[in-house]
Amino acid sequence: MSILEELKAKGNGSLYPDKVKILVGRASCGKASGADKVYNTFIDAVEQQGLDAVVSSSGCLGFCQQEPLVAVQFPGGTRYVYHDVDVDLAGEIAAALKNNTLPARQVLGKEEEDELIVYGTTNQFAQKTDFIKELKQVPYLNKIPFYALQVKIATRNCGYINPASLEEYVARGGYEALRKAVSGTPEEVIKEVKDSGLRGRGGGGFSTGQKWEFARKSVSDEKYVICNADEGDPGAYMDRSLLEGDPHTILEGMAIGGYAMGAETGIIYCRAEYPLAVQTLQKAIKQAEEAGFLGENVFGSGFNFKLKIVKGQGAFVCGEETALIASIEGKMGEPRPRPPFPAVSGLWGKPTNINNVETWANIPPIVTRGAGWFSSYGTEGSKGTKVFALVGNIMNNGLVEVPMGTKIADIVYETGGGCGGYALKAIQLGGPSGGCITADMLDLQVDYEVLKEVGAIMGSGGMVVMDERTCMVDVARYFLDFTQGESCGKCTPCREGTKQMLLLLNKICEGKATMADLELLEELSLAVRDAALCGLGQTAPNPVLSTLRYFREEYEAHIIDKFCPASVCAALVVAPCQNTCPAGIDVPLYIDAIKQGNYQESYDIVYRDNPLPATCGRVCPALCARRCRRGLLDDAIGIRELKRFAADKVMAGDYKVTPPAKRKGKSVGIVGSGPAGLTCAYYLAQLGYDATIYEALPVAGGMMAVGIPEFRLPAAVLNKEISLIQDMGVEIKTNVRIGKDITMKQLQKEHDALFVGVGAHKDQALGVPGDDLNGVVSGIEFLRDISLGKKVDLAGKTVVIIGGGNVAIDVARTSIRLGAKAHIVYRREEKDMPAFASEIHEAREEGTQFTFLAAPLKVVGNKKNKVKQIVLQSMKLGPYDRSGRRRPVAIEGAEITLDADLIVPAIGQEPGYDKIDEELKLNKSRSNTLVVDKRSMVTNIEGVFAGGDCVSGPATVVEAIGAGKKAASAIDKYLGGDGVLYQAEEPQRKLVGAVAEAGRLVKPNCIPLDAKRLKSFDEVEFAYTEEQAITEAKRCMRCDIKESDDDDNGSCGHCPGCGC
Amino acid sequence: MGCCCQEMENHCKDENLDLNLLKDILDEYRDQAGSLVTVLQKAQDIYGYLPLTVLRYIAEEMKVKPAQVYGVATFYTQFRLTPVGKYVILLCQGTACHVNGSERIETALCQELKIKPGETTPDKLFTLTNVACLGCCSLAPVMMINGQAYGPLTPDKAVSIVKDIYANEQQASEGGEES
Amino acid sequence: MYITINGTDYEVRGESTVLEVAQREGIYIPTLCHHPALEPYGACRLCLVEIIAGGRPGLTASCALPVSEGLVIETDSPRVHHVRQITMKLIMAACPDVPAVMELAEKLGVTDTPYQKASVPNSCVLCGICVRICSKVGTSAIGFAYRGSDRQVMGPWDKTPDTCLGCRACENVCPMGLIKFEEKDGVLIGEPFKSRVTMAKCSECGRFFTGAPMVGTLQQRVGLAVDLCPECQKTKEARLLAHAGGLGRYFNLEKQDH
Repeated sequence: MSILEELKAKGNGSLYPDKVKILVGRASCGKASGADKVYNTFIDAVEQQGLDAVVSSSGCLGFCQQEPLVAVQFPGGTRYVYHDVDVDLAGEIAAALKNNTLPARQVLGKEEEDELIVYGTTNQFAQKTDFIKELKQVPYLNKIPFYALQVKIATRNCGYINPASLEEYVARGGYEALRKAVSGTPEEVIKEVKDSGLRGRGGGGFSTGQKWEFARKSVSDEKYVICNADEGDPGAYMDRSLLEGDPHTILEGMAIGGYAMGAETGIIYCRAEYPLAVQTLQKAIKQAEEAGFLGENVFGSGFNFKLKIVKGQGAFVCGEETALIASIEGKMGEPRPRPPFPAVSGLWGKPTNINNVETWANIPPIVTRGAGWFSSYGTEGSKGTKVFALVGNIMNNGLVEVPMGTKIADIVYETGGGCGGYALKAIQLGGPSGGCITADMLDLQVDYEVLKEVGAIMGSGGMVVMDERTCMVDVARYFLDFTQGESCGKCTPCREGTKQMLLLLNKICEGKATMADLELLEELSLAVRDAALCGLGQTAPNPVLSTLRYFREEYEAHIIDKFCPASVCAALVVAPCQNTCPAGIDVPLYIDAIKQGNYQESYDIVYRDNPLPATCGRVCPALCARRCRRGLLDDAIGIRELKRFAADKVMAGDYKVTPPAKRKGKSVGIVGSGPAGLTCAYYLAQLGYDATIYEALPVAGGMMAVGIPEFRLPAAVLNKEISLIQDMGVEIKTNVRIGKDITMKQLQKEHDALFVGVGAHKDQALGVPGDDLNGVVSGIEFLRDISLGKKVDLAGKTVVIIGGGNVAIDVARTSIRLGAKAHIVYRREEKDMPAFASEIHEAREEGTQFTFLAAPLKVVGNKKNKVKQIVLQSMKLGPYDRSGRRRPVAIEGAEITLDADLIVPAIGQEPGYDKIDEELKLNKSRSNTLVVDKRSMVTNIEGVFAGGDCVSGPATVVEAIGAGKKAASAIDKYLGGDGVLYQAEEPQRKLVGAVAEAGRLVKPNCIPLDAKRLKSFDEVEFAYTEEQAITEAKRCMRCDIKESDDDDNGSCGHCPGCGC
Repeated sequence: MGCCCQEMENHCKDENLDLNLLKDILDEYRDQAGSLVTVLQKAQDIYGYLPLTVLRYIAEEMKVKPAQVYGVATFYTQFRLTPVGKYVILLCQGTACHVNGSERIETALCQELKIKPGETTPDKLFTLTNVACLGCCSLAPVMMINGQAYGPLTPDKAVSIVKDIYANEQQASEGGEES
Repeated sequence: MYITINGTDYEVRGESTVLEVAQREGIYIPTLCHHPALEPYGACRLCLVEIIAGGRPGLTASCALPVSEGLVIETDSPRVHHVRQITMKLIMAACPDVPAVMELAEKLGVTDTPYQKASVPNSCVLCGICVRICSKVGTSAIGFAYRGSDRQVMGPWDKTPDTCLGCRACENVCPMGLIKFEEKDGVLIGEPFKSRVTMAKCSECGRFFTGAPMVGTLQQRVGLAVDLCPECQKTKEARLLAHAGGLGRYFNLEKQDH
């Protein structure tokens, strides 16, 4: 029996033993998660407690985030893979096995057959399946989203074999390729590799076969093949996983390469930070030598090949070919000019071929299966598969191997599971040498040329997902910091250039830069890319150039506005909450005032930046709370609830505002009394301008008055706040419609500047047959009529609402209070609904029915042309669209019919202009919103400013308030002022009273959910009691207090640990 | 060749180093071309760092120019020329870790140990270093202490791991040291 | 073999690199880390030229670019010019107010640098010529240490280099004039490398004239026994000549057996 057959038999015996086999993933990720303890628990169960099983370890199955992963395989039966296994679960498994069963929790998937990539066969090892009834529902591992798109060629053995077992490697086809290669000619091997289309997986993407050919052509007595296992890209660890999980594939690949190129010595250059990989390789080399796969006369072919390991010692630049060679020569890792190329003159001046770990790992299956098989995967120019390290802000973190040509959207959303609750912002590909792509570029395929075209690179496989909490300027700075530290320092552009680039980026992140600095940075980046000696320097500017290309606005915000939108750059951020608030309210300060019992002071702090605190305290979605650092520990602070508490407390008393004594003698006309208009008017009045608001409706308040129902925002509360604004000197004229009662031209004559804040009050029509029948009422119209006092009796009626936003929810809850049955129909799934989660919850609690994945087909009327029914098309989820949600796709022939008395479309709003836009010839966007300069809020007509929903599209009250403030400041500047809305001293930020270490969010009380609530329009949510407010306020960690360290990091050392 | 210079350094006398520990390594690698980095790695494994005396000795024994030895020893970040603590904390600053808040871990550890990255605590127990990437990105943020990786970390967790080690050290040493 | 520089064809007459051909023809390409006696280094990046045809298109260092048939390059194309100026500005920022740097900058038409200047005065441009020449003709007494922005030339362990011969080749070649040796009481003191080399005495006049290790090295490498200072050496040679020409008696020279 040949050595291969002998080892294979042994290997199969150990891969599929005749007793239960427990395989624990113990590569570095596993160990770091505690896999060793789990392993020992099983060993203990076998040795001390008589469990009849075999316990072994494997490398990485790829789903690193769910480590420790444990596979339990029954003899001749199914293999179940458990995730997040701790010592307790291990004990349970061991105990259950004694009764021939298994616990039914934390099972990732099951397997009943193994694909043997090297042979191209499938081993259906499980004859006995489905015998544990508790686990009947467990999906197949290769069908779960994380694995469904993967094709494991390079990582074919990782997680399946014990890396310390040569036999298991051979059993799955190991060393068959080497045997085949050396029985043919080197030229045949090179042809196969060339034809396969394999390109360097280290990032260079150069044709591997061609490289081998060059090396073969060089004539020399000595040649070398080298494996570049210096994997230095931060965020990438594919190579580590291969080295630790399947070392023999690299040895075999290199031996084949040595044969093909005529090299008898192979060197694996492995970075020092991978001690486990080095150990694993050393063991494997010894085994291969003992078996005769390495050494003299391999497979009797006369070919000799020996391998040795050289360790790196902490230099990213040694991933560059010539620097790597210098390092092996015992020198500093300084790159050398090329030509001469290593294939001609490399290590010790001899022809040398260097390939990346993943490239080598692909060689054995290419040799056994052939070029045709390999090139059947991938695109025209990029064949085969690629291993990516999918890390960062992504739900499913780990290593994935997908065919070239896979859409990045599929990798991120299908395999990766998306970002969780945060919006995807960018994906960094290729580490510090690479570039980013944005959230709306995810249709791109994984392909060398495609990625290059958009300014990114394939790189070695690092795919770092970044969500809205990442600052792209900080990302560029971070990468430059890394590159500067790794530069060897030999050439001027890299050494000095990256240093100056980093200085400029630091300046930008500290808010000290000018636009001239930005131009300098860009110019320098391009020059460094052109002039540097080696790949490190040439690619170092890529993160800068790439983020400048797609996120220039973010740079400009840092420079011009001294603002970091992602709330990351510490020098520019008071606290994430304050920074995220569109009105810039000093959240930590007003929360602290409540904590100290100073409610008036708290109210004053809010009021300085937001003249509608009681309103916002009820309806604001609290964008601030999404970034609250406490939320990483337990729950975000009830910032909105606290605001309401302070506002209600103060407004219950006799609160007055004082209009300014000095008048400017200029006047501003504001169209629309929504939050944008009210805010703009308020600040202008405070500065001494005469501000007049023209409102078409009989009541003031815009959407706040006629869009938000009484039970969420009582009219009395809103009106009190509006009256304070009037007390400041703002005149509000209701029942004045532009075009009918007055024209814009007249307003232009009467005022020195105009602000347009008409909101977005026009509902989009359903656009299906029957949408004009009697009984189809738009959502906005419905809510407005109720707010303005129309009496509507919907007792016993069914109201079907189409849409998933807050308008739909408000209509539903209002309908219920008017006696109707409310039914919301949404075209996507619940998690995709734009409405606030709390509102959806409330609507459901109050009895709203929901039908998801359905879209209107037609409205059916009775003989009197009144609405009778609505017919819906059932949908299923199709491919992802640019918003990161799946596009609903009709299921042919599947329809739902609902009886309805009232159909309310609430599928989106847009601005209605009453011809203001035409009269003034204002520029509009494609979505019919007004186009304004982002900073000065001015339209294309001088002196005419705009803000709020009519500019942004439907958004929130607080965003409109922020826009109103910005506009007021800009109008002040336009009219000769300095644009400063108020003077305020730098507040004292001190921690008085400890931060509450534990404690979840205090929930305010509500009207109990009973029949009474559902009949009344009384406000559902109550304000905090004093006790509740102070308890909640104590949970705030005061991220605004910066410890005065040497490194201005915004550290808050007094907190219990923000758990970031 | 001894120092022919007038500035006599005391390094030959200050550390009680047993250079014989290097004998086997030197015998094995002395004649292998390009083995300087390997020899330095193994020397560091023995002494915990690379004392000047050791570097000079290696230069002599391997007949490598001292300037080259020094250049190599200072080029690679994993070579340490000053003694390190008993526990070397490698804090990963890789991209995934960065995006998941590794800077805050650094701050917490600096505050707890009262040292800056690159430094060693006065009681010679801990050395704190930042490293570019440990390759455990799915567990970001990560740190490695004497070869054992820990992740995902929070500032709390990182500090408590260090505190645990410290407590164990206190217990182990009888009589306890003043910290 | 012919290569084309700036539109004109030039015959290659034994040169190996593009820079050599250009220099032969008087075509100016600025250099900093280049030295005719040393292997090309490719570090300063001032000698970049643009390959138009006959090679990988792009910018590459002409000092290390081998000549090949059909190679077409431009020494001052807009792209090269732009990048070269920026490289010069980077050097100016790293080594502000150094006369040799300012001279070179002026030659390139660069007047000022927009980059942040080094706060600590520094004259070393890290061209590495001193290190390379010491390696070639000396004893590798000095070398590079650290990396990146911390890269520096120094003696090993940042102390007096043990093996310095006092040959002063480094002083000779430093384009910045940064390296200076001084004789003081029989010791050759060289900065900034902290060199301390005992000097040899002239057996004739008794003056110190060179590093003592130089004497030993010349003997060992070249078989040359040197024990006279240059002046005495000249006198000795003059005597020999005169003696050989039979004019010894006119020069008051004694017959000596050498």
